Amino acid sequence: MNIRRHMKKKKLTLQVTSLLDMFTIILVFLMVSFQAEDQDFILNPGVTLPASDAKSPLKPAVNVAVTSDAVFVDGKQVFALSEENMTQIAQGVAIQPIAEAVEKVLERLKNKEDIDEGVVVVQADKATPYPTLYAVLQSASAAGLYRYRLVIEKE
Amino acid sequence: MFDRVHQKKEVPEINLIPVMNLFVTLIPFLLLGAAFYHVGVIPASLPTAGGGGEAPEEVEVKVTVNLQLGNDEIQLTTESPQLDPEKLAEMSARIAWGGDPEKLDALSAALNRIKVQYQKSDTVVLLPEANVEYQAVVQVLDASRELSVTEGSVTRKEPLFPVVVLSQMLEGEG
Repeated sequence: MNIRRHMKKKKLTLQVTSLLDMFTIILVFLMVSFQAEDQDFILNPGVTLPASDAKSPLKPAVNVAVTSDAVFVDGKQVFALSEENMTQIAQGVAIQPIAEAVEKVLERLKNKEDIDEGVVVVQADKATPYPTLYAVLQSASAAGLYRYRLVIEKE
Repeated sequence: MFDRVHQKKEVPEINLIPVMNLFVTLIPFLLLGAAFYHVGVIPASLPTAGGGGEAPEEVEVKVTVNLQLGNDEIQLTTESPQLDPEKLAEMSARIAWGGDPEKLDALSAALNRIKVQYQKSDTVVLLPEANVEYQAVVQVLDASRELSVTEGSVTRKEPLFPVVVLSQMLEGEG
């Protein structure tokens, strides 16, 4: 009888200590991963960035992306990397549609304060042949941008 | 007797529920702000037309390194208006790398020898061949821009040639 009364008294509590341990680990991991500086960056679909140990931070600027089949300026496709266009690439000279698109974006971003002026951010796929990359840089320079930031994935 | 033994066993429990509530609020917020993909940049420029062939009046000698980059081999040459062609030729090197980034230590070592001798030097001109991919360019730039120095358990980076100029070989060159 005494034992039965005692059993009734025992309060059932949820054991949350192990759950709390798990949450602490997740919290620490997320706090380490938290970086406000990468928030503005939108990776163009179809681009796999090359890995590098470069440490320079990314600042917003005119964005040019090079995938395996096209060149995008500020997210819009401006030039197809088709076989007939490859002769233009091989010449290593500025490509007019890219230069014009960069100029338009530059005009639009003129009054924005947080934009790095005179700079083009280039996100190119790691398998991009060098002549394609060079032609894109030449096109940006034809639009008046002479400093380039090659986007990489930090190792 | 029975009650006394039982009383000893009871341990007061801390109420962890408010802490759990706090964590549940913090975790979704941090998940939204977490960057699992960290990006950086390599600053670069294109070659510009020079003002002329006159030697600058600087006292300290500056050497510009040219790297002709192929998928199998890197050819290192140097140029400086302040140095004799013989002296410049002594610094030239050929590094066989076959696309293996582990073998780029030889390139870093060759560049470090130049840097130690001519400390004001900071410019590397990259001349990749047409069949070279962007990843290979980035790997060579990593080896050219900074040198990893390991002292005991600490590894630090020292600048080698941080100013990058991307150029292209003319047809028939190389």
